[in-house]
Amino acid sequence: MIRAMRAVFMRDLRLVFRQGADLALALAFFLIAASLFPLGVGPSPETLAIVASGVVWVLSLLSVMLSLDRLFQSDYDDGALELMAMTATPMALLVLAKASAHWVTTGLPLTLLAPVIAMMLNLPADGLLALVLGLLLGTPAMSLIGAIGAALVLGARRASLLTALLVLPLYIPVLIFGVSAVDAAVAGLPWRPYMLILAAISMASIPLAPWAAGAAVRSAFQ
Amino acid sequence: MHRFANPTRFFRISNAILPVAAAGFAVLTVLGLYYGLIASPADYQQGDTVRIMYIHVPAAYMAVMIYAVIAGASASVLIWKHPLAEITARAAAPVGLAFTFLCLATGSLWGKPMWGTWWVWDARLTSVLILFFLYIGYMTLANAFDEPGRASKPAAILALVGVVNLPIIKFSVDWWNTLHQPAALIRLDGPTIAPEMLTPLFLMMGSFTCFFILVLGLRMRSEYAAARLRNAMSRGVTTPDGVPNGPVGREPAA
Amino acid sequence: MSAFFEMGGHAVYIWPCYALAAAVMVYLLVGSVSAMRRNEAMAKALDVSRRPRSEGGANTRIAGGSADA
Repeated sequence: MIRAMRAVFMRDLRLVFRQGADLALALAFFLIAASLFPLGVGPSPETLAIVASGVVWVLSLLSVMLSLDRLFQSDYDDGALELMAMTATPMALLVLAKASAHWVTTGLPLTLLAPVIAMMLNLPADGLLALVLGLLLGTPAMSLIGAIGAALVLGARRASLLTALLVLPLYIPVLIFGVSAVDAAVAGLPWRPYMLILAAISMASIPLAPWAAGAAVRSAFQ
Repeated sequence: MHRFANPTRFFRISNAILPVAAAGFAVLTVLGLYYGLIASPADYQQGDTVRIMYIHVPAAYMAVMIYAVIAGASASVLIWKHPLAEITARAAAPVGLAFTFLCLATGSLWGKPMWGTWWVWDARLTSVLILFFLYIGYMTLANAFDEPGRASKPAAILALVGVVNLPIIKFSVDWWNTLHQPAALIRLDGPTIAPEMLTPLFLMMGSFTCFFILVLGLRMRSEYAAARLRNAMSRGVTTPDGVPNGPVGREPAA
Repeated sequence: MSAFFEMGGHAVYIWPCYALAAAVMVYLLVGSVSAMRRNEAMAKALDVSRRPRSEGGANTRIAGGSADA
C-alpha cells in the first residue's frame, strides 16, 4: 500500500514537472493577479501595507483552486483514475498521495513565492514570518479540502466552475486564521494561537478529507 | 428500516401529515403574530426592533435545522441507500436556502437600527453566509449530472462535509467576542429572554417548523414525480405531448 | 392604531422584515405546489401513455422504477 502510494505520488510529481506549464501557470497567475492590486487600490505604500496580507492569502487560495482540476480530472478523462480505483489500495490513501503531490507542486511553491509578493505589496517585515509559516501550515489543508471538491465534480457539467463554488466556502476558515495571524504579527500581538489552529485544520484534514474524496471518486465509477 | 421505501406508504403518511402541518402553521402563525406584534412589550433597550427577533431567530433556527435534516438524509443515502432519503435532501435544500436568506436579510434589517450598519463581518454572520453558500453549492452539485441518480452520492458527501459548519455557527458567538449578541435561548442555565418574549418566539418557531413540514411534503411528492420522469426520459421515453425537459430541470441523458 | 404601525419609530425596519418573510414563504408555498402539480401531471401522462388501459392512482404506482438509480 505504501508502495502504491509512493508510486502515485512520484507519478503525479513527474507529470507536473515534465509538463512544467501547470506549475508555471499557478505561479504566474499569483504574480499577475497580485500586480493588479497596486493598480486597483492605488500605489500608495500605506494602503498596500494594509491590504497586503489579505491579498497574498486570497490569491494563494485562488491559485490553489485554479490548479485543482489537474488533481483528478485528467486522470479521470484518460481512464487512469478508474484503474487506480480498481486496485486493492484504498482510494483514500491514493487520494492522500495525490493531494500530497498537489501540495508539493502548488502549496509549497506558492509559500516560497509569497514573501516576494508580500514585500512588493509593502507588507511590514514583522508579518513576513507569520505569512510564510501560516501558508506552510494552511496550504496542506487547501490541497486536501480541494481534493474533496475536485473529486465531487468528476463527470459533472461545468466541472471546474463548480469546484470553485464548492471549495471556496470551505476555504474560508483557513483564510480567516491565516490573515488574522499576519495582522496580529504586524500589530505586535501574539500570533502563535493562529498557527496552532491552522495546523489543527490541516491535521484534521489529513484523515478526513481523503476519506470523503475517496468515496466521491469511487461514486464516479458506478 | 425500509418501511418508507414503499411509495404507497409514503403517500399515505404524507397525505395524513400535510393537513395537520397546514393547520398547525395557520394557527401558530396567527397566534405568533398576535403575541409578537401586539401582545408583547417592547424591549427596554432595543425598543420595538426586538420584534424582528420573532422572524430572525426562527429563520436562523430553520436554516440550521434544515441543513441538519439534509445531512441526516445524506447519511442515510450513503449508509442505507434509502430511495426516499435523496428525495428528502433534494426537496429540503431550496427551503433551507430560502430561510438562510431570510435570516441574513432580517438580521441586516435588525443590525441597521441596533448596530448602525447593515452588515458586519463577524463570526456568526460570516458562518451563516458560509451556510448560504453551502446550500447553493449543494443544490448546484445535485443538479450538475446528466445521468439520473448519479448526483446522489457526491451531493450527499458534500452535505456531510458541510456539517462542520453547524457547530461553528452555534458556538461562534461564544468563541469570538463579537457584535452579535451571545446565545440567549439554548444555554445550560436556561434562556435569558423575558417570558413575554419567549411566547411569540416559540410560537413562530413552531409555525416555521410546520411550514417546513408542509412544503417539504409537497416538494418530496414533486421530486418523486420528477425522479420518475428523469428515469423514464433517460431510457428514451417521452410524454405524449412531447415535453422533453423544462419542468424536470434537466436534459435527458440519451 | 397609527402608533402600532409606527412601531416606536422603527417601522422602516420592522415592516419590511415581516413583509420579506411573508414574500419568501408565499413564494416557497406557491412554487412548491405548482411544481408538484406540473411534475405529477407529467408523470401521470407518462403512465397513461405507457399503459393506455390503466386509470388514476398515478401517485401510488411505481412506473418509472425506483427514484434512486
